[in-house]
Amino acid sequence: MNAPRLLNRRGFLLGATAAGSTLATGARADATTVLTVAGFAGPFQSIFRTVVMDTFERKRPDVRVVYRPAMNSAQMLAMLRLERQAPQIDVAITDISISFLATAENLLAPLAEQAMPSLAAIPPWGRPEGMYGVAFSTDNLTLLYDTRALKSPPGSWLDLARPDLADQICLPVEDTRGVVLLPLLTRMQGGDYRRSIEPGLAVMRRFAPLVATWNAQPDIYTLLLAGTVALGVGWNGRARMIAQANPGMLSAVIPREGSVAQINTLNLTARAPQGELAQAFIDHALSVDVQAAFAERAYYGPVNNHVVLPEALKSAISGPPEAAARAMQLDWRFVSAHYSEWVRRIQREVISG
Amino acid sequence: MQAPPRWLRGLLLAPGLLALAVTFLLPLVWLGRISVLPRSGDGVTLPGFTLQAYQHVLGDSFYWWVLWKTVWLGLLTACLAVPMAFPIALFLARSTTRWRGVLAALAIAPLLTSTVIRTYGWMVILGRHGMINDMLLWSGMLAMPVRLDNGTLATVIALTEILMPYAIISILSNLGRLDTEIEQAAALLGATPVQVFRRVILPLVLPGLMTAALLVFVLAVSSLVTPQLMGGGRVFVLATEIFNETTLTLNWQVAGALSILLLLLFGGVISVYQRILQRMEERF
Repeated sequence: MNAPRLLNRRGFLLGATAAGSTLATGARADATTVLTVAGFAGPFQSIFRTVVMDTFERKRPDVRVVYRPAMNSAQMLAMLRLERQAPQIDVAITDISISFLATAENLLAPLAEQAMPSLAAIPPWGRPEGMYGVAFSTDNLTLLYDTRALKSPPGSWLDLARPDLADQICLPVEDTRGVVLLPLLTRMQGGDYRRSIEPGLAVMRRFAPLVATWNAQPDIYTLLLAGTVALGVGWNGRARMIAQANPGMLSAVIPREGSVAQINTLNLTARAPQGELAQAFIDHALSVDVQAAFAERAYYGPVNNHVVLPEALKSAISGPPEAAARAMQLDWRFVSAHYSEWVRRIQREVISG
Repeated sequence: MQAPPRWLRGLLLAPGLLALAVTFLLPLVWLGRISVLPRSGDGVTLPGFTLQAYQHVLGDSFYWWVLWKTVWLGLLTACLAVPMAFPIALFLARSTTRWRGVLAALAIAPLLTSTVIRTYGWMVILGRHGMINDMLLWSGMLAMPVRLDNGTLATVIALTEILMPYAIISILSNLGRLDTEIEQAAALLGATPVQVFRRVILPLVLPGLMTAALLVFVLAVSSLVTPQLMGGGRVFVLATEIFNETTLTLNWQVAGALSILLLLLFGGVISVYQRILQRMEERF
């Protein structure tokens, strides 16, 4: 009787191929340096991958950039805190308020000016005192509306108090949207948010009876597409990307009183495994070409002073000249320090009040 | 049969205890540790020890209001879900049809679907352009859609429906142990069906109803997804507050203190439940 064959020719070939490819992958991994970037999940991730990471990998074939997606900046902060002793992330993309917090908690490291020529083209607001990170992009707060429900576009933030839109307004202001809207509304009332946000809260209280939902679930863009709400506030970049994918359904408007931008930052983590490489990556992300390409794809405002955008794109990002001229620059150090307090006041004095 | 030696019992218990320690006790200790870390005025977490977060939570009337809302929502859900689940469970327990198994499976089938999906289902039903508003508009009873979603009413409706299968299972297991001959004896002695229900069935199933109510209460109090999706940001309960403090205001100390508070609330409720159960056993 013949003994059963443990390995036939086909099996041997398959095994040999598998072993060969495993060895090859191992060899490639050895020759490649891995740079880990943590950032926002969703459309931001896919555009960042194409515009920033892929171009960097082409420039540096010896480097492989890995993206660790997080739902929001809070999750990013949690990851940084958990990895404090043994960081795995080299570059963290966060909201500016988190960048201040992470700097104060010694989770980030300062950037080396001499190794990063692009830093010279970043305006002072992109590198404020008390923050180790650097601004990467800006995104404006806008009014979003259902173009099927509203025949004429809203033109003012005060359209959120239009009685004919009762129960059709979505105002997700328990987060950064509320925190940037408060100073803007305060300014519209002739106040200064550094002194008091009371005027802004008073305007929000006027909106309150008309609001259908304060907590957009799944998100305001979906609610608008579904026709559940007709007007609300959201971020310009994402709204324009969604509007482009769903023509004739929703639109974003920067009101005549101007807007206020939230800032995404690039941060070098303290004791980053690839500190030098991380700085080269940040420098690449801030370069003119990358900044322009990102603005074009994501409708996010560039931070590099040398970037020149076509007029149409500039208008899509910052609104018409009248609105762009009234854009509000926030003192983010001050805002970050008051972030929790303002969210709490919105919850208690506007939503539950 | 000889009892297994002590070392063997310990050995058999060890994997379970280890799993419990790793998945429950350690995170709890970690949570407690976070809640006592100092936090600067601008939100920076500092090393050290302080009871600042507990003082903040206990001294703030807003959190007491949230606690009250949480308990109220849990009680209301339990008070609605259990009486609605009881007739279904009783029917399933007493049914002699060959379809009994299928009916029982149908009653608990919603558990096969995720809470998120079922909550979205309620959003569609109660929404501005949902089934109910559309029907009322079509029948001419309404001229304009009314707000049924995004509030406490919607949250209670969704929680009641979502948690009812748990109550049915709990009551069903209790009814299964009930001897029907006792009811027959009561009927033979001249009790009317209402009297049989009031004087015989109800006292016997009361512990089961209490267990079902406790289960629904605990699940309602700890639920996050349904209050968040159905509440439209207006429903403030401990779970949503913990979530907000963790992800929005980044006050992990307060989130930790609230979590410990929620745990103490569960402990308090369970001890009250045991006392009531003890008294009921003494009474009947």
